[in-house]
Amino acid sequence: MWFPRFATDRLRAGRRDNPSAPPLATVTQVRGTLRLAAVDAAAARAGLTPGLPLADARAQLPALAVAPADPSADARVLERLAHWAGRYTPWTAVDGSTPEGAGIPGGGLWLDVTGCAHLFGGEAAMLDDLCRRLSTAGYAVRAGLATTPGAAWALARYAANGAQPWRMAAPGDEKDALAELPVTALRLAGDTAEALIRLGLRRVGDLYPLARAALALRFGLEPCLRLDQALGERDEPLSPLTPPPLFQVRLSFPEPVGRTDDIAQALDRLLVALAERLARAGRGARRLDFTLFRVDGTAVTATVGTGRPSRDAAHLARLFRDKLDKLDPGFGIETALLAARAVDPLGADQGDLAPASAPAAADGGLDRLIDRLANRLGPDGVASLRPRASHLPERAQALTPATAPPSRDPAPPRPTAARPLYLLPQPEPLDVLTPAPLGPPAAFRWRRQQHRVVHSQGPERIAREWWRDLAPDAPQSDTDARDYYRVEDDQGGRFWLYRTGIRLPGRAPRWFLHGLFP
Amino acid sequence: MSPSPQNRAPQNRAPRNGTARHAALDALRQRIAGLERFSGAGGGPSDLPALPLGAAEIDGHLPWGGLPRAGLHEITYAADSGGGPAAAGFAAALLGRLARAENRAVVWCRRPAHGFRPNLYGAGLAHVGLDPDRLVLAQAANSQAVLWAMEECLRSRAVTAVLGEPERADLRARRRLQLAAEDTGVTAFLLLDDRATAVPGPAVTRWQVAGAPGRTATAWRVDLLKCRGGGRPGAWTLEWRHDDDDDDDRDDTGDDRNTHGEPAGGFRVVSPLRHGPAAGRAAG
Repeated sequence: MWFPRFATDRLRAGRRDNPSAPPLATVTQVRGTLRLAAVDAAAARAGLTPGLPLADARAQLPALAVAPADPSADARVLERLAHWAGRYTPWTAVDGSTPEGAGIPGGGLWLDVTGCAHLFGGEAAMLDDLCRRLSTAGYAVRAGLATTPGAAWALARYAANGAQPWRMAAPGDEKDALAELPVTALRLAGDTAEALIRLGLRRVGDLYPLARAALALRFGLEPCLRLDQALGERDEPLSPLTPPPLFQVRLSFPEPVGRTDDIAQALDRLLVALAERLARAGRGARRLDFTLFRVDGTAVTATVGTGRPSRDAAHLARLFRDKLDKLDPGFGIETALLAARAVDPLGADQGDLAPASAPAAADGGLDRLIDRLANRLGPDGVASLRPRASHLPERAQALTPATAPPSRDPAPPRPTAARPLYLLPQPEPLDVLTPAPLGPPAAFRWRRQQHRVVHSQGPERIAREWWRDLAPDAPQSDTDARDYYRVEDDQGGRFWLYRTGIRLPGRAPRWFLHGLFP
Repeated sequence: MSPSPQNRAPQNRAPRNGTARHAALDALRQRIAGLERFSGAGGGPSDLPALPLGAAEIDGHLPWGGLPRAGLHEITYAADSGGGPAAAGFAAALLGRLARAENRAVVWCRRPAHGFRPNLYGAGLAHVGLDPDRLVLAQAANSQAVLWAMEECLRSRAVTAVLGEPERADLRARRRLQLAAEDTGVTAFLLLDDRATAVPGPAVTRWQVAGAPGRTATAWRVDLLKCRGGGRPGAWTLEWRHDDDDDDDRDDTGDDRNTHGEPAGGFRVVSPLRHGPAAGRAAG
């Protein structure tokens, strides 16, 4: 698929300009001069071509409107269109194979429609539909369909025209279909094509009778490679934008819908259909994308994840419930697509034999609850406290997502001394009054409040693991042991303080508050 | 703004006045209780499934022989005296008892640790009998999301109890929690500072918890401020006896063990104060 005037169409698209809008061109700075980078159809009719200095273009066409060229924005919009094209096939990609210096403007997309066309009434009907939707959205588009990417590329750019925006080559007919096209249709770099044309090899068909060895000797491997790719004698692997999902279902609406209720109903139907397919395959979904294709050629997606594979349509619908409100239907939705992006094996044990009102089974119910919480609060929002093997209190616990599988390491031994209920995110420095230099504290000041210590237990000396001291970049303050005290103030508050810096001669030890006891 | 002290005052004085007045109040309470679910409309209050605290003084005081499972319980603390950790510890001990009684998970909904807001620490939770393996921590960005997560847990029946620490919870939110807890039998706890709970709410019980000074073990001064179903306010000083603690008289507390077979500990009332919260505070 080729957008010959992509840069200018992108600027126009969505603006719904009146037909009498001035000709449009984008400009870019080349060696100090502003030159045209892309021109729209009206400007092209007036004889403007990319590469013309802006001053000359203005002289020729005073009404010309200009905008700065923005290749990165072009690339973003092209990628969005590639996502949108997912309504036809899960396998879409942005074309990056346009050769340098060949003077072929615009952008292109690859769509692998193998096995998809019959859903849209055949290949011709699908191409009609594709071109009609894109030109309604404001894009000039040419499409080519062939069994090889190379042939499709050539057909879209050199065979299709305004009257017939798409061309198709039947399987096996690529050789004939390409024969009359110029050699530039083989995706050749500018100078290679020029050299061929200079020798009178103007059409692709002129290359057919030549010996490959002679061709390669004279022009390098490029023409051979491109010819082989176009004719299907050599594979040309392309990478899709997103890996195609293994399980997906689609629903097209006879006319665009926009109400959340309708979308929710569509989702329910798709979930049931997807669940059936997953059940047949013995799989459960871990991650689902629900994509809505809007009439204006854009798409929005909501994603949910589950901790354990699931194909329970009611459960999955609940996960999507909050996210549906945030999906903006725009001017209307014409197609909805539900894809399982990640699946895991799931046995046939999940049947809903029990009535819905019965209390959920203890474990399965908890998994579903965690899924629902995690989809609203974020995957890190639902956590469990897992012990870790470390001497330092702040390292002895990890907050791991509750959906993560339990660790296989043996649980580290529990600390023998009391540990606080709350641990501060950072130990907070304190002003502490100690009667004896290395004795327990008598009073301390924390967060602007004075606390008089009436009782203290300690010290419990905690040092980090000795092998960590061997690291050359270990900070000195961190290597020092900490003496922890559990103290109680006269209000009944219980605190976990520590003193550090004992080993550093000549410096006063420093105190920190690290935790709170009940 | 805070009518609760005036409302509470007659109740607090009641036990000390004449028995005639006491009996009249009891009769009135029973009539009110008859209108409430927590009287146990069909039978006695003790028919509701309840969680005994394991301290006979308190269990005997509560009309249900413990905390009713299907209900909302508010655990409050004085905002300015730093009672938060004490109240959280008391709540964690109750959650731990529930988790052990049913061998199921509990959920703690709070805002994530940041700045002045500390992290929950598993080893400390284990010390008051809440096994961290049984705890799911739901970290929500704001009070509204905390309440949403609580209700989701209550409605799911997948856990045995849920505790929430929103910064505020209006009357409507607490009513929703109470109704959800009544419907599903999942116990709900709200851990709030006392500014947030100045207005009376639909909760079954409301407690005020502070650290009890002068004791080496974990200890709380616990005031039962409100109790539906005809229960009277009360105040106790509770101590946590962990079975690892060196102590001679570990008589009735070593009954509970957590899932790893490790000792879990239990409550013990150390000095019951039977004169209502105001008197209790004065004496303490």
